[in-house]
Amino acid sequence: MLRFLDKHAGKLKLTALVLMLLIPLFLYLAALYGSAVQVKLLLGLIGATMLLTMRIG
Amino acid sequence: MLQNIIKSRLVSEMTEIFFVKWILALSPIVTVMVLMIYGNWSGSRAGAAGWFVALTAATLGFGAHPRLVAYSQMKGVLLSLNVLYIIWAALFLYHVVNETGAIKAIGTGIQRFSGDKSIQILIFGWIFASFLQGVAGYGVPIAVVAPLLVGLGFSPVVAVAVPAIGHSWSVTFGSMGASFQALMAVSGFDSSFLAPWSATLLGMTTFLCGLFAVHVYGGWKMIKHSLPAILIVGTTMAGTQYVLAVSGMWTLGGFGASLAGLLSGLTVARLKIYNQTPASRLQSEMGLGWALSAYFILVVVVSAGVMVPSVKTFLGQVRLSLSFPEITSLKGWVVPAGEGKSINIFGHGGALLLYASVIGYWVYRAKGFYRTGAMKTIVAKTIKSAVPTSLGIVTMVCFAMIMDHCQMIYILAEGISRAFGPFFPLVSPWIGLLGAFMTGSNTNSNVVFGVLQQQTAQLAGLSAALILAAQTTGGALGSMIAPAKILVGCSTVGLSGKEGPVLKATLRYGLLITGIVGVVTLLFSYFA
Repeated sequence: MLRFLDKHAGKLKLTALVLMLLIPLFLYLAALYGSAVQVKLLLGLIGATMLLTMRIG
Repeated sequence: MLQNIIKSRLVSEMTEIFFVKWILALSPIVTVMVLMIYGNWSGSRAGAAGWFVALTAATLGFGAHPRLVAYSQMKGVLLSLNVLYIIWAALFLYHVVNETGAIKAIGTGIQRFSGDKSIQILIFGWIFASFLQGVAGYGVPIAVVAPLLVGLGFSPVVAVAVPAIGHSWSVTFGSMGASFQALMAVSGFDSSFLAPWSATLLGMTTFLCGLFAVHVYGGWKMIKHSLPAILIVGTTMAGTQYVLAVSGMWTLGGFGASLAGLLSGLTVARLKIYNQTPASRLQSEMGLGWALSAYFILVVVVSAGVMVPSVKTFLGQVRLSLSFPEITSLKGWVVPAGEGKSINIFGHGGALLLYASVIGYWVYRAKGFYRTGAMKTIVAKTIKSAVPTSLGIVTMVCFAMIMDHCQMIYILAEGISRAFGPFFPLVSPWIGLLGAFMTGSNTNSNVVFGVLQQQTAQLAGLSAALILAAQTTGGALGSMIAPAKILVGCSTVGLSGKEGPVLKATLRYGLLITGIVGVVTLLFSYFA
């Protein structure tokens, strides 16, 4: 898994950037109109993206 | 008596609680600093780690809850997009130009003007490096100029240290004003409020950067020899930057100033005192005029977009914006309702850069300066260079927004205000320097510390414009000592793994200039 992340770090950085810019939009919509579970789920997704960045950034 | 004892114990306990909260609020910043300085982590990795620490500290000590964090992250993205728009477009323009060989042609063109070592240092390490900062930034000035100086016979350490010191004054208004845009975005102030003081302090550092760039190579003797050139060119650059910044054309501040500096520098190089040694006779395939043509187009496009009211109104019709409701933390800190940072899709500085890039591309293409498949290479190089910087900015902005929404920055500001009181202006540029040192970016420094400086200034009753100017000036100067940038420069002259001597050379000048800026800020805050 870690070897895969290191091997594809270049593409994954771009993916992480796109996710970091997109997830907060859904998070914003969930905070306005959605449920608490949706908000927590999306926050978890941002957390996962940050973890990915900590590995490949 | 008993009342007094109880009162003093209460005060002491409250101070202790405040201190604990202050340390907790400081923890994300310390995390980023430690990881970058001691762990050699990149800005994006350290920013992501800082995000986790900020989230934990905000939840444990400052009453953060999921909805509050959700809104803070969306506001962070809006802020980031404003900065990233400029960064991506600036890098795209740089690669559009560089792919034709124009940057090399500009370097060759300059070499033909003088064989005097001090003039070569000034033209390459001070003026041309600042010009590159004006059009690209993100380590490009050091990476491009260092090998050119080695080619002229300077030692690798001097070749990296000179542009590192020389370009720093132009960082805030360079890169099409990305760092200044970040300062405006986080503080909520517009350019007319922030630009005068920022351009004044940065104007002062223009001369100091020129003086010390020469000092690195030739000491005080060479300073004496090059002083007339530094005064003439420095006045031209600082003056042009000031005029452009205060007239609303801050996106062109660094670029316009260094372009004016380039013209005055090449004129000064013709003076008799600087023409004792024969100049280079190298010829480039592309003339200096053609090499600079994309930048002339940029000047026309930005001037039209900023100064012609009908064009400005036309381009400013489409804005991306989101409204946010009032939100309160579990500890009672209220973030008022309002709109996030809006993005002017077609009139933004980044958009103007893109128009100039596209026109420039067609001009170069029509003249046959590109090889087949050049656009593919340009796009690939832009993505490769912009993604790591962008990741760093987004992670830093996102954790800074968590801190801002949970009173953490306010607590930090209050602590600094209590500790330094009326002497805060002395410390202000050091905070900016620290931010740039740890993140490798004036933009990131402004994002992380801009609000902190603003709130501290307001609490201490000082001019927010002056303190924010000191912040961004310190942040700009941090570029000369930021390991991230030194590493880039060293890698281009075969000094990889031997960055220590370069850092040692730049560090003393960086600290000295920052100290001078601190004293000047203190004097301005009480006498201006």
